[in-house]
Amino acid sequence: MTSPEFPLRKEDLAGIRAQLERKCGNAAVAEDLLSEAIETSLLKLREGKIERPEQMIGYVYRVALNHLRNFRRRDKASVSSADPLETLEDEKTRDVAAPIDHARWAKTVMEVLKELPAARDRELLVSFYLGEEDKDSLCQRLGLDEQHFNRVIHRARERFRALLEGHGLKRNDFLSLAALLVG
Amino acid sequence: MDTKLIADRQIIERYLANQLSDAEADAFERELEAHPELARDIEQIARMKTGLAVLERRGELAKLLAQPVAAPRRRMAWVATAAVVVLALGLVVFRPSGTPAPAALLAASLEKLSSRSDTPIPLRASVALARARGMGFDAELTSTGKSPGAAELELATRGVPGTHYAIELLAADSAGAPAVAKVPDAVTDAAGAVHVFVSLSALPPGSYLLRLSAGADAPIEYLIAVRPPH
Repeated sequence: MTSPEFPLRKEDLAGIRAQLERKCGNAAVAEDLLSEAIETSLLKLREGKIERPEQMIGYVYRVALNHLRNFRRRDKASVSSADPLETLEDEKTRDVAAPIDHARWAKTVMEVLKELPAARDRELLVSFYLGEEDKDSLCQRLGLDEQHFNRVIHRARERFRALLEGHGLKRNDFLSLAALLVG
Repeated sequence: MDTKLIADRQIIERYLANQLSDAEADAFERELEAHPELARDIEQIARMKTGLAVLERRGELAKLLAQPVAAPRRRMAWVATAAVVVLALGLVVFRPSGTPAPAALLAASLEKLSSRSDTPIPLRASVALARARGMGFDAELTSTGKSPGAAELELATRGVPGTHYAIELLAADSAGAPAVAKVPDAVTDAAGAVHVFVSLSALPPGSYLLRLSAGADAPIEYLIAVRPPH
């Protein structure tokens, strides 16, 4: 995923990589999708199809997320589509830092959950982010109005962000990542 | 689609959960290209989702969801707060003559807020806060710095008149959001609102959470920003 010409900090893309891995069920495939997204973006940059260099990072995500969308479309079309991918799993391609990162994020989100005083709000957070239950259904099931929902989500995100920033993920990281990408 | 709309409507979460239509997803992707700073939010949300998945896999999520309101960290915060209160009381009782008592941060009336001050604290602002009005801060106050000053906050509860609430002021910027002040008993007025007074000179600039609790009901929370003095 890295090249001498465009040194890339893999850790800055760790979240989207983990998301790709969760959705396709295979670390090697996730790695390939992300590498392809970076290569495609670099190509577009060199061809002058990306207007400003700082847009590069947005483009990488766009391509990566598009891969995710396509994967999910395929997954919907065929319930067994993910199964063969499991057999492609190659432990050698797995990012050795990933389990450490994932454990750190788990610890951080655990702290966010513990700080929520109402059990209902904790359930909201888990059902929305992990269960991917939609907002209307959640509000109805938990007896919440939309504004309360928005407030819980907003504050949980802000708290998670603050805790992560305490561990080194800052807004500037993405700007520096863009700078690194374009050399 | 602008960045505020993306946050307010949880577009990123819905995108990652495949809950957007193709047209909405395309619009979001175009927005992402134009506003690369959105990548940070995607990354953050993806990490949160992964963290939750790890907790679920470890079997720790069910325990967290069933946990009673007072989590260990919160209890520790309360113990720490209690220790600070005891220490503060000790200082009040045994302080050497001439040493001023720490100023009150939060009180149910301006008189009580002024009780540790030589002169009445002047009221500098009055703000009415509606419950769950929206996202972000519910009120933004400006510190008066070294000059004494107070703000009156009218907190809507939608509760019936005469409902008793315990009110805590939590430092939202600090780890574990510790309680920094408390009004143990505030009663709603005829309109279902409670009134509290905060010191604009003693409260350091930062983000604070006002939490109103009444029995087993879900607490009501207001997020307040105290800005540095002009």
